[in-house]
Amino acid sequence: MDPTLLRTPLFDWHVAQGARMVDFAGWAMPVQYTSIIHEHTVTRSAVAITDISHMGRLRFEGPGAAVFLAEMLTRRVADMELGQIRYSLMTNDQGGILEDVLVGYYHDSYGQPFYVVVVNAGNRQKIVDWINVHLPRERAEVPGREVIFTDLSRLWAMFAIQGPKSVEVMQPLVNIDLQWMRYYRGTRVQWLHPGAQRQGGIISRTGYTGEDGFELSVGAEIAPAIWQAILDQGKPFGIVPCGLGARDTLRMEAGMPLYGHELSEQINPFEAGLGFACHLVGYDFPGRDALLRIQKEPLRRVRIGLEMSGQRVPRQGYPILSSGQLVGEVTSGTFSPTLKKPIAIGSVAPAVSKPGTELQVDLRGRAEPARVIEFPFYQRDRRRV
Amino acid sequence: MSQYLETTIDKFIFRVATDRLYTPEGVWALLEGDRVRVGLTDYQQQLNGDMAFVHLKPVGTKFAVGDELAELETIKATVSLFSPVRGTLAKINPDLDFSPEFVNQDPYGKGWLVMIESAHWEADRAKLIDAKAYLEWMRSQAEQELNK
Repeated sequence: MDPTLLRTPLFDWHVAQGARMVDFAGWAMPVQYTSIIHEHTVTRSAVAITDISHMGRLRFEGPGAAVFLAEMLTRRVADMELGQIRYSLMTNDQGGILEDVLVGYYHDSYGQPFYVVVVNAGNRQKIVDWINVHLPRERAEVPGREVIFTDLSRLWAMFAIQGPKSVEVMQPLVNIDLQWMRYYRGTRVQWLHPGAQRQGGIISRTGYTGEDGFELSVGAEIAPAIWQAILDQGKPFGIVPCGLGARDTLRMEAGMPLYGHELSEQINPFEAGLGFACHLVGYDFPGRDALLRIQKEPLRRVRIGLEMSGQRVPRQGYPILSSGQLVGEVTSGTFSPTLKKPIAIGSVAPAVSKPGTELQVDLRGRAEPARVIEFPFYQRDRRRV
Repeated sequence: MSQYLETTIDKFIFRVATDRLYTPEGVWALLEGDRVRVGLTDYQQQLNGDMAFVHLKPVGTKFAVGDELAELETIKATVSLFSPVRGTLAKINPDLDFSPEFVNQDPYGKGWLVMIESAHWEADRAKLIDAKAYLEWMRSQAEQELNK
């Protein structure tokens, strides 16, 4: 392994487990422990745990934090209640997508409120730089409107526990009743385990798999002990560690976008199907004026899901055709372990974006039939929650 | 029963069957009468991961050395495999349609890909490498791949 790669607190565990480690955005991360299909299937049927400590976690606090974030994010945050989490975007001055984030509003053990913005590993430095440009000292130190910005990414580990058995696995380890925690909610918790050394952390009912589950922020030094405690709790339910390979196939089945595939600075939120994450009236954030203009123009392209009838798998960059004419391209594609057929996410001209439309994907010189379908490809049985 | 050479690189164990010949790209060839059975090596199946679909050329296809013989759709990528010998495709592994995972589970056995009616085995085999040479070549490849 390249020794210059960043390591999560679980690095030694992954290696000892025999995981295949890869360079992911400058981090040494496990892509798979056994098989992507196996890890994917267990996440859907039982429960799995994934080390996502490479994700960037940015903390904002101080009396000016809410307004500062409202002026950086496309979506309102000033009206968020404690414990609430929202999906939002950051855009550049032209309205192109800089990043997609989850912003959570929590309070610490002294009752002080703070926001945590979770960003992609590959965009962390870009976003930290972008924030620093918009938060010079004279902005951060306005009396009565101070903003304290801290990059917590290396201080906290982060785990995703995903699957229908997540509540059963996590409940004995926390001092709150998880059954009643709603989706996109989170809170500070005490870990009920001696290995936690009385440290607290954050647990939220969020995820990137389309399953019920939680994401945890855990102090780096106690992270291996908590990880092991979760594996021990999960043993009767058949828990497995899940690498980033299955994380990707799970999010594709759930129809969730990924930066670098469905999202980029060349794509605006409306084209990406993320108009719901833009509140253009109210706070002025970078790109707002551009988005107000773009909103009135016809869409140039639309994000769609494609289901293939054949056995060939579309991959990123493959052309999408309609009656032989180029109408767009594939942004992500895989074999779906749940549906047992190839699926893809693509970006196409609006005229051919309606569910049911018959298109073709150019698979290395051969056009194969593809049908536009409604997202997501896979939806869990929500009666369980 | 095949005998195997085994090597451990990092934490991974790779096996190479000693009873057959190899291309450096990781395709094996085993002479059975006047037919050559062809498959993928253990190293290549581990490297490429879970097989989703195995697409083989139809029976009767004629191959020169290096012609595309199969396309493997794995969960992460599409991989082309090339023929190690000249000849005509005589038989394909019928199980791979429903159980492509055989390639992962038993690459030297029930995960075989095709049988080729070999036209020039003696000449073609001279260009293939034996198990020991493949193991050395694979080791150097694997070390590069794993130390990336």
